[in-house]
Amino acid sequence: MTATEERIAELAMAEYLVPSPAEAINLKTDHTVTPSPSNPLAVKGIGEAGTIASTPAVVNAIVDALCQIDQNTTQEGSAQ
Amino acid sequence: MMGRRPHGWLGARRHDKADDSNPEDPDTEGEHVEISVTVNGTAHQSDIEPRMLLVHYLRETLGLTGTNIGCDTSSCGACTIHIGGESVKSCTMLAVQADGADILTIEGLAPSADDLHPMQEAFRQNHGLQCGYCTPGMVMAAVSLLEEIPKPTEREVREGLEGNLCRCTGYHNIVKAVLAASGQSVS
Repeated sequence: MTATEERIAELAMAEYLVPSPAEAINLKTDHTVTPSPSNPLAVKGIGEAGTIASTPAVVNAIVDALCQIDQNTTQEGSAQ
Repeated sequence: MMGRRPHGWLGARRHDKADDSNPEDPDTEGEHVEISVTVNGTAHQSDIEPRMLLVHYLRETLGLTGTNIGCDTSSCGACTIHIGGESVKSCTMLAVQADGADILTIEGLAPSADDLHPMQEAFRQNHGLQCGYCTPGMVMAAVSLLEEIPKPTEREVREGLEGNLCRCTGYHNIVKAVLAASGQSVS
């Protein structure tokens, strides 16, 4: 989704693209069985946590990769 | 008097209702068109505005709210119904274009109040839904797909349902349900 002049640019689902059945892949689901060490109940969160965390994780990986070839990866050009 | 008229706009009879016409725009305001359609086996005759979309006619005039409106732009397929056995996005069509048509909506799919259509049963068995909003359209599109391709491959199901969007992206079980409804084993 993009905003232009404080308005959402995609006004209909023809422009704001979501996957159709043809683009969606066949998924195989599995379960993790490792208890979380970070809390007394050893439980893990569910819901949309994967969605929220995955974007910064991917961006961090790209930043990390680019830093190794001396590319500035922030707007301020202050990548370490 | 009500002889069979040709299908479509030109076949619908137009007449003006003088009492609610707008003097500033006499061509559109207050003008109604009479259509007769068969919906889920029941004949209906209605006076409607020429600009009324078929999906609004089904939902608002006939009260058949199982047909959902997801986008109003023919992108999402939530409003899929059958006209003459073929799947149609009912927000793409004016109600007057359906004059004389035989329409099937999700409400008319099951053979009786106690039984589900095999496609509905397959969606239920395979949990082919998440929030459920796309489900009526998905089911109608899937029934039409199997009439065209009785034993589709997984890829054919995915491509056959391409015009129906699930914003939960719950396609996995939807595809599974359609394959199951076609009598094929699913992993």
